[in-house]
Amino acid sequence: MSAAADSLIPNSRREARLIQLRIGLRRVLRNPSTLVGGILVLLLLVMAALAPLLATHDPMAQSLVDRLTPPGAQHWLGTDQLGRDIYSRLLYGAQPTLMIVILVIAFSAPLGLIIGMVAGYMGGWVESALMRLTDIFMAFPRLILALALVSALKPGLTNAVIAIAITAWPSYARLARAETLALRHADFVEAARGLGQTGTRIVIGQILPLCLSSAAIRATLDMAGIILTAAGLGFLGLGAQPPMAEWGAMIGTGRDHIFDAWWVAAVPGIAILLVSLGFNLLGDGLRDVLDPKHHD
Amino acid sequence: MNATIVIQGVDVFHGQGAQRFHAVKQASLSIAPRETFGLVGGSGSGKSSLLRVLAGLSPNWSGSITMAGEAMPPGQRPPRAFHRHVQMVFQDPYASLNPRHTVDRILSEGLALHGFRDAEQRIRDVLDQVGLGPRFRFRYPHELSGGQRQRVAIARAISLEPQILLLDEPTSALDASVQAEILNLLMTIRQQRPVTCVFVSHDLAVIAHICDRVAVMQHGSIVEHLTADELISRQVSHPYTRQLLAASEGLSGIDPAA
Amino acid sequence: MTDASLLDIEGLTVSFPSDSGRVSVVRDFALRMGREKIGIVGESGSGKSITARAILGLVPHPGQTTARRMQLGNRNLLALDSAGWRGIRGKYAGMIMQDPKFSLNPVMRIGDQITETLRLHEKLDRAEQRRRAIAILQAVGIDDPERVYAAYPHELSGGMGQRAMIAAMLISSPELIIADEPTSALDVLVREQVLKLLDDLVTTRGIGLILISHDLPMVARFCDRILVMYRGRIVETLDAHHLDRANHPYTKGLMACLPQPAYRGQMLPSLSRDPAWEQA
Repeated sequence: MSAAADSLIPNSRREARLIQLRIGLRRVLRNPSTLVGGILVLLLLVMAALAPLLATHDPMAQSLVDRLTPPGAQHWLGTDQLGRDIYSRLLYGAQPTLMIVILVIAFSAPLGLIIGMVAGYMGGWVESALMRLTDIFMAFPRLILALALVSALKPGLTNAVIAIAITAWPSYARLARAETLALRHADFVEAARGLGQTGTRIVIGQILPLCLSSAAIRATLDMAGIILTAAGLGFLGLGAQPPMAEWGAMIGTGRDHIFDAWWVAAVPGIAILLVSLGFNLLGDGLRDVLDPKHHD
Repeated sequence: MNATIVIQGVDVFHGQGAQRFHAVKQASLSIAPRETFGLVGGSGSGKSSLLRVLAGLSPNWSGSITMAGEAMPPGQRPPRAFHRHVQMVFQDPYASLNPRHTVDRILSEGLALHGFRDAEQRIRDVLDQVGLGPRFRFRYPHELSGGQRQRVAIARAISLEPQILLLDEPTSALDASVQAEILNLLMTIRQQRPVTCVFVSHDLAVIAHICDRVAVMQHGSIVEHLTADELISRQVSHPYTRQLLAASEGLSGIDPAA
Repeated sequence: MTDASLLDIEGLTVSFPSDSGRVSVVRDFALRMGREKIGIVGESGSGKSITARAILGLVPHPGQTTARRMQLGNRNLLALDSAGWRGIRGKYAGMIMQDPKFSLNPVMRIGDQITETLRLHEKLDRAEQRRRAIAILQAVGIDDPERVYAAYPHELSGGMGQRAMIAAMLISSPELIIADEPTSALDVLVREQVLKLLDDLVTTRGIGLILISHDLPMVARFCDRILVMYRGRIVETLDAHHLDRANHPYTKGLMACLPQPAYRGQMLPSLSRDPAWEQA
């Protein structure tokens, strides 16, 4: 207990939470990975949110006269085969990318956590059944399963989200089960039982908070993969449908001109690379920051 | 018979099938109201297994147990109201508090669960009583020392005003000076509240200090019943108790001969 | 016992970086010992365990060890690089940790772990290694050394595991053994046996022993001299047979707060700490 911690004695629940938040934030800012990753992710957020303000052109406006213009003063990052401004499309393309990531995580992480925690806590045949189901989903390569699902449903952004989410939850289930198994007989869980708490309350009140940090790390690391899968689906024409600007689809259309107009595919490619890198760095850094073995 | 805890012919098991382990064999004892009863033994003697059964945490037992006038149903978890009257303090204060919960939350949970309306006031009172005070209320366990954590665990247990307090080696993970403080706290609580205690330990000096009567356990069986005076004056008959006495002479408490 | 030349340490300081500069967890530690039994006693946070690690060059990163003098026999420990330390550890000095569960390698047979130091420091054929290992297992009071030699750590009880640890330490005939709470993870009755064993072995083989524990009376029974540590400093050095001559209020307080028959059912005196002890 350092002197710094002593000077911060919280007097209410709210204050305690704020102080925790401040300590956490300070740790995040001090870690180079989280800092760089955070900046890249923040950039993505700003791009998506302020796309209408930052864009120089209408992302849908075609101008066949200007098609495949190289980067220059008029079109900062050039134009594509329909003469649309790539810079503006990149900005607007951040929106579906971000939406896919958020929706997939919002759907798959809670689902996986619930399945894993229930399996770990109940044990017995419930655990066997749930974990075999998880194994089945894990056995398929993610992109293949997503491909199969999307083509079975109908190409489109919503179905891409559903498909990716269905392939994303098993890793959370595994993680939550492993944590729950380790915690199921921890003294503090027994103590909660000794107070009279039962099943659901123990899982949500005692075990969930301890699974959250590893799930958050997993989620940030996962986001890069989700972006790539979404881009892959877009590239194959199974994700966002034209004329919507989506990074994967942008690469897909740029493929035909890769030798004479490299920028059409390269610009969204670099964007995907940077954002994936950002999420990965953030996840790595969060693991350092949140893992209790690294401090105290 | 006016006893708070009556245990008759209790067997406790761990695991199932071929791996079933007979942890406690035919244990019988009865503990009077406001008495502090010691359960002594080495590791694997079954003392902690018996205590966990009394706390309602391990349903795998048979026989008959009456706690505070109510019969415990063997083979199942007791109803919620049971826990209002029977509370337990664990050995390792580093493991018995949820690392993500503030002291406030740790103390609020039991009070909310059992419908205490004056939770706010009780939390303040109980923190004062265990010698922590309001400045610890919104701290997290990792900000507390081992002794402070054990005080929080004791506060959690007594906040429900239980009739029975079960203590599983509550001082063995602590330094000697902190052990003294926790033992003092337990004695104060015992004076101020009408509580019956069961104190499990391997340390005869601690047991002799705080308990009125003692049962010595070995390999799952109670091998000897003693009063604290008999323990101190070494009027023991079972060879295992003698061994324990000989060992504890050097390990804790100062040998009067030295 | 009069030969104070086995271990000679002066001005040992161990520090760790923190938010507010470097914090010394051991300050100005000094010890001159021969082939005798020294106890280091202190509460958690007193720096006793990190002192033990510093003597064997095992302070974890980013800790920093400095000393004016640190000698084991005629070897200057201050001049050692990490290869040099490996030559010392196991051969001339060994450490017994608190819990055999964590200090024995779970996937290696006991026999291989015992002969590991032999392989590292001496050239012997396998049959000779095995013979020596069985002999040492017998010496630490294991009745069926053949079985234990071939066993994995999880097949042994805590007491057996700790005996195996001691055997692994003794096989290369070290000059110094440091035992850090060697019995606190064991059953009470087993503690007694393990301590007696350790006592016999170091006495008959003329090994220097540093026993580290929070249990003052236990240390007093087994050691010749006791160093009492408080917040990284030695506050008092005691003759183990005359604890009653303790002068320092901290030592006195530590003894007073143990439950004793005379105080039965009464409040135990609590230890009030004086900030001045940290400077003393």
